Amino acid sequence: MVFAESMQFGQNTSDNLNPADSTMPLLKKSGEILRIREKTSYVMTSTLGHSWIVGSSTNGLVGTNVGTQDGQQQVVGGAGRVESRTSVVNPNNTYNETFDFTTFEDTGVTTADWADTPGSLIMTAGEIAQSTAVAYGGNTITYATITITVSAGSVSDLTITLTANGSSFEASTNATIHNFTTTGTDLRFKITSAGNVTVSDVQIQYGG
Amino acid sequence: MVVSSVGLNRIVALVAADIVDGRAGTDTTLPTAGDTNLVTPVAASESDVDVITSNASFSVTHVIAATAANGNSLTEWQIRMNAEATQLNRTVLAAVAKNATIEVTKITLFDVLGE
Repeated sequence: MVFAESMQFGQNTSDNLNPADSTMPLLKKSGEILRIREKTSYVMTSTLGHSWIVGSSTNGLVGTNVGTQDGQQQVVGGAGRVESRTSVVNPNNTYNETFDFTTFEDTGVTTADWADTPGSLIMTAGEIAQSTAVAYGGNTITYATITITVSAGSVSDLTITLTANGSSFEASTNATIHNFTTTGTDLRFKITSAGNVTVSDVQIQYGG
Repeated sequence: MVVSSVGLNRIVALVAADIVDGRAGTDTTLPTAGDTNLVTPVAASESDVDVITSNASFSVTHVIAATAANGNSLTEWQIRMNAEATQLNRTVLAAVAKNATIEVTKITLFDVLGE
């Protein structure tokens, strides 16, 4: 006989009066695995505006210069620059937000504490957490499943919406696949809380 | 048994400290775990990266200046580690037509999990 890999086969234990048996249960090993998880990558472009940039043919002159990219007198800093995301991709079409960074926080809408305490989205009644594009520029997204994990409070206090085109938010249910009425290539989520809730993790699986 | 949070944070710090720079290239071959380098790197796209850690997560930001790598359609990206420039990852993204009117920023997030 061979060692079974686990207890799942329901091996019987005999008393000592029976012949010796080599069968014995093996305890399932409790492995501890460390792995580096690659999460989201995104690329954005930034125009030069009227920032002074060393070596730039338009924005790199010393002294008065209104021949900058946006035609204004150049200044040190990031003046007049316009940022545009060109792509946001996730391994296996799965976005994982652990609230360690504000990279995907839409600061113009969000009122909750997004990563103020690293690892947490802390919400009180009436507060909103909205992301920027968490997937962008790829294949058309027709469905998504958002799964929210809380460390305090209840998911039932959260109103969850998703958009696949960046603007048409549609009501969604936690851990339930949502088929978009309006499809697109700009996936975002929005959470509104009716109580005190601390979110530790948001995962969105999507496809089309 | 459990992997402790402080242990994970320490591992993140060690990995983050080992990351050196980033590069971009123009090939569109999908990445595999066996990749060791960009297929068609653009040397001028190489620059140091900013690595920020938070809990067991870290972000890597690679900026290509307005004056660099112009005239290329950038599609493949890599993050490199240590003195041997060991590739941490290779990513293929939508093409960016690089010219002197734009800077390009690529950010990638990672975390270390104990399971």
